[in-house]
Amino acid sequence: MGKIFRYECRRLLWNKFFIGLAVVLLLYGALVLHAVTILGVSHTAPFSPWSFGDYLSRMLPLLWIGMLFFLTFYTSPKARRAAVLMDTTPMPPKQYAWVRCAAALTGGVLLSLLCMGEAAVFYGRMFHWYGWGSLLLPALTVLLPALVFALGSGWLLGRLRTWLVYVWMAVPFLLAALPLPEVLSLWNGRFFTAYPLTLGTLDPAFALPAGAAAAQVVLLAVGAALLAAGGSRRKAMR
Amino acid sequence: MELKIQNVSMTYPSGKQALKGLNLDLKSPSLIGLLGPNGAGKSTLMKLLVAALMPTGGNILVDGTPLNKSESQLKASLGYLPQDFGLFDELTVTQFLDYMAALKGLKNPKAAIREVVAAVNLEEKARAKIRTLSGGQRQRVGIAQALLGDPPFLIFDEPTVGLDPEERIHFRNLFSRTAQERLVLLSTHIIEDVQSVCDQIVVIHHGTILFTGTPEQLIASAAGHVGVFYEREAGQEAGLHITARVNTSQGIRCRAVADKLPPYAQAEEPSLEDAYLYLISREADQ
Amino acid sequence: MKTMRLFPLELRRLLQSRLTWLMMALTVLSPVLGLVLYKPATSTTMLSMYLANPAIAGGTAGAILFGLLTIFELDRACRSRVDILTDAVVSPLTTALTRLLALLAATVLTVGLTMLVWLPISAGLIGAVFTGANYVLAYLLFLGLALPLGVLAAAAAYQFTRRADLSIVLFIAFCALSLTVWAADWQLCWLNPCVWALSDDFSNLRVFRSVAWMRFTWLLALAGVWTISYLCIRQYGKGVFGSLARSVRRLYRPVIALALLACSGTAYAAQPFLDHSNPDLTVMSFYEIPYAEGVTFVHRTAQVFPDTDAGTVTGRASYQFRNTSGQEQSISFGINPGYAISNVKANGADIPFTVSDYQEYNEALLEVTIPAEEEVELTMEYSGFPQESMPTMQGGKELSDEYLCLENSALSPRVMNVMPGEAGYPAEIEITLPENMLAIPFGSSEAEVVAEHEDGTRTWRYEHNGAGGILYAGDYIREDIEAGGMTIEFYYGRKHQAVMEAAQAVDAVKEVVDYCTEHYGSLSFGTGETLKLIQSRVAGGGYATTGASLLDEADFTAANLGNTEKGGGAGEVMIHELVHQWWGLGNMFDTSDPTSPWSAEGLTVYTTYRIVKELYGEDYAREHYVDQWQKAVDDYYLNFYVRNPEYLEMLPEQVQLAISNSLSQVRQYNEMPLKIYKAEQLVGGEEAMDQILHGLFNRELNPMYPYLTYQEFLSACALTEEDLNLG
Repeated sequence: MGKIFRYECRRLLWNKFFIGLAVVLLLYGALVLHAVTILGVSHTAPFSPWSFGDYLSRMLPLLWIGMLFFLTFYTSPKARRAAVLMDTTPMPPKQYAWVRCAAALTGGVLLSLLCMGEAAVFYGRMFHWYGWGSLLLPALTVLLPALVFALGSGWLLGRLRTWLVYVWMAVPFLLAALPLPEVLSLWNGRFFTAYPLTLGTLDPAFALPAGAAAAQVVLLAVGAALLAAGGSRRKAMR
Repeated sequence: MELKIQNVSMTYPSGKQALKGLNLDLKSPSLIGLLGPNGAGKSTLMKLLVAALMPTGGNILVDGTPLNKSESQLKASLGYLPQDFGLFDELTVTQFLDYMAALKGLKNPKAAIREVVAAVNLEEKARAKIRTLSGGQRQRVGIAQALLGDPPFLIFDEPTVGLDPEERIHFRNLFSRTAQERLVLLSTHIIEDVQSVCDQIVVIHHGTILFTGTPEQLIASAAGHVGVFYEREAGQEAGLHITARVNTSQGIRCRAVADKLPPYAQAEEPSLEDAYLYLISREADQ
Repeated sequence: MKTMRLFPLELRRLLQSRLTWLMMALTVLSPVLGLVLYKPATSTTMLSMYLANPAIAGGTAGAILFGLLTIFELDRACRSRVDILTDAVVSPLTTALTRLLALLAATVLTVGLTMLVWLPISAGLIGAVFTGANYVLAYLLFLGLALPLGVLAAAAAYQFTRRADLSIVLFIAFCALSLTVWAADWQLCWLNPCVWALSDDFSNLRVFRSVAWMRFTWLLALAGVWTISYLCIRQYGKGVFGSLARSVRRLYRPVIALALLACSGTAYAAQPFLDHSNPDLTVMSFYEIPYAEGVTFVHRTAQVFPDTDAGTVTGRASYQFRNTSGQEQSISFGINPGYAISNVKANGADIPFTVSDYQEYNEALLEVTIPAEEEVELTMEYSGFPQESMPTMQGGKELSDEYLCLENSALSPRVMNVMPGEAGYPAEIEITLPENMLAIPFGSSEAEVVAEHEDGTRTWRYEHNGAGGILYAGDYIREDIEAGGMTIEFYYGRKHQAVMEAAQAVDAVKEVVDYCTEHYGSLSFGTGETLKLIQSRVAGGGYATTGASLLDEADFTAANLGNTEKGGGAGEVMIHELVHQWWGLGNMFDTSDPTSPWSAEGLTVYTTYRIVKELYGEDYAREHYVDQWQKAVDDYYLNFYVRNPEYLEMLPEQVQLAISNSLSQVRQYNEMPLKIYKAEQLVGGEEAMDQILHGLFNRELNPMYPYLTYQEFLSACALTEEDLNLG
């Protein structure tokens, strides 16, 4: 199992595509950090959990796209042709799917770490600030549900039709344009700019209202459920 | 290893009936040649045997157990080379085989990989990325992955496509050696391959089995139905199927199969190819 | 021809690929980047924001996408090994040409689709000043021509290297060069043309011509490079050089490649738009030329004939000098570097002249030796395409039947080393213009029509006193407004009529001039009787001279007039911009200091508030001004960097400057008006403040530092800085 995971990671992460994606991500990250995050959001410091969350929200569309691109390694016509060989091995399809999802998730996590690492370097260089511990909660809140959902939904869609994965990549942009209710404001990044202003104190500590937390938990659960559904789905007749 | 195919039918959702009440017993050790024209149902049969498809009727028993209950057991003892397959181009030959070995759950993959790489003559390319391989070399990687782990049941769909004559002979011999203690199912259009190595032949046409038996039995069934004649002597008989035309100094000499040979045709000893063509043409005439 | 026969097949194959449609769809979407992310045109005119930026961004993204598609498509044949089949039937050279043509056809289709999709969006965003001609030209030149350049560059890279990865790296590097190192060089930035502004109200032919020139230069260059790469297409199992040696046997092929490259090189070197002025703006050697001894200026006449179709100028100038030196004298003139001088005669006889290669401040030096006669009449003819100096701010020398601005030596050669005569530098200028154009000398003189011609042109004449002089002409609407005891001649572009009417411009002018004249005094640069207020084509700012003041069109765009920071509504921004005629022009304020809230904006916003209060009542003014200032100031004091300046100091200097600039905007537009409002209450009310401001406006100037300072304001109010602290 470990070996398959290693090989899948190698396929996904050791290629020009991943390097290109990482470079684009870092360049865009630098742009966001230098143009937006540096000003701080809602009167808070650029390195406050709120500003950092806002930065991650802005990076999320690219991470989402990256995550779905990893899935195209499994859903492309070329990959389907190779799957003819894999399907005849004794490896249980469910386990195999889990390993592949884990590899894709590793890719997503690596990209996320790159984003966070870039922010950490930025904070260190610009403000000599190294209190990264306070940023973990917003990072988990923003990234984990979104990435798991991207994986679960993308996996299922990719099994239906390869091109659906590409269409699915546009979702964050659509969400950004939609006037979402407050509980869903984490999905288009407005939460981090709007919520701290309602707390009535200067430099408030990071807090998540129950509604938004529930929305993220639901997103995570749905993502996991989709993943389970996609992984265990028995192959149909070809 | 024993596979029993009992009254198996397969109808695709589109309505196309690929197999109609097929019955077949396959027992190791044996090298079985599966013959049939394009669209006869060979690939469907193979997909059923590797559990890539579920039959819409009938049963497949693996050592007496229905396939839907013994899928994992079947896959653990299966090596499969499909006609159309993909490889991970970004990996090297060894890495790909290592990956497949992991999927197959092999205990000592290194030795197994070394063995199959040697068997398919790919030692020089073992460290090369798959994307750099030629068509024949990719085909050999496909064969190697099927042989990986010494599976007792092997299915090869058109394994010698893209190989040069020397390689073809090499693989024919390899399959023959392999079949000494295993069950090998070989689907091919190249009659020569079948004739030289298979101890049993199954001919499928329009989703039904036309013939099962040894090559000798197939040949014997065509005795008295193969003849030669000069084209200038030929009439317009129905049911005469010309299988070869050779330009000679005395005119064009034709070889033909027919249920009843015309009087101007001189009877000839049938070859396996003649017998196969006779079988198919007789079916077509009916 | 085989290529023509194969072309429809190849195009159909290309259009069956999903990737092609994806790239086309992304290109069609990409102008949105120009609205949100990539805004190379920095001006705030509607066309800059909603036409130039989307078109340039779309062109940039589209060229990159189509370049990548090209590499993918060219590599596809090799990847799928279909080239083995096709090469057996058709020469690989023919295939390459067919593929290129199919890709170019796909770019044409994409440009058409993009223009269709964005037409209603652009028309909606731009509003009343939208015109089809600007739209079509902007999209064709800024977006449309970028795509074939991307295809040619990428195809050439692939044909040279025959490796997809290497081609992508080369192509991206080529794009990156244009976006970074070459971005400020208008001839080299092939991807993202150097366009800083498009005018809403007047034509943009000059900018369009310059971009078209750059695009065609690059089209020729890349077509040449592509042709060479075409010759390198591998054939007969040979390498790059072997194939090249084989391909050049048909002589016309390398000849075409070299001809394309030579044409491109010539177009690059012979561009007519920009001069070669000394980039060091501290050098002013033309002003150090000693005056010609014993020569004085008597009179100048000039007849100027702009060709509004070609954008060129032809003219005749005649100068009368008195030469009392008894010797020949060398007279220097500044001429626009784009002009050619001919037929130079002194008292009817040809005389030699030289034009310097050295150029400075958009002028070349014409030197003429006049004879040793006492009365000298020097005549000369000049013609050409007026050149500009600043590659990153082109468009100033716009010349069309909608607008022209001829400044100093672009109007007629400007004499540089002759002492003024008794009457100064009297001049009589005649200019022949299409009948829809009004000639507006920038100054107190008035132009009048002296002749109407059969071809629909009219000749205008005006008198002027000065060696140079600026003339505006255009398709203007003139409104005469009696206000503040003088006649305001208000000129604005015909296309802007709807916006100006919506902003109640005439009323605003009247209100402002009446109010400001009554409260602060007459404008120093008015003649006492008339003042021309001229809306200029986008120029990056306004300026004033005696009798005339210039308003930059960018300040009067529908978007700016809706900017709530400057006032509650369109009419109020109009008032704001007009109040700048009192607080903001001439010697009133020094360049603003980002660390201080004191600038022209404080008094201007405060005065706007006062006028609005008078017009719409106290409640309205409080809600839209004082309360807004207070909110912005509260936000300002909550800002992280304001509360923690030590973090601002940690940042690199440039970042610090950008942040403090944005903060100082808040201070200038909100904090200072609020402080003045507080001062008003402390000094005893509005009337007292008006007295103080009247005094400051009419104060005696210190010639060493004529600007109004915060300290002067505080002293006049008898307050200290601490008195005005907020919070």
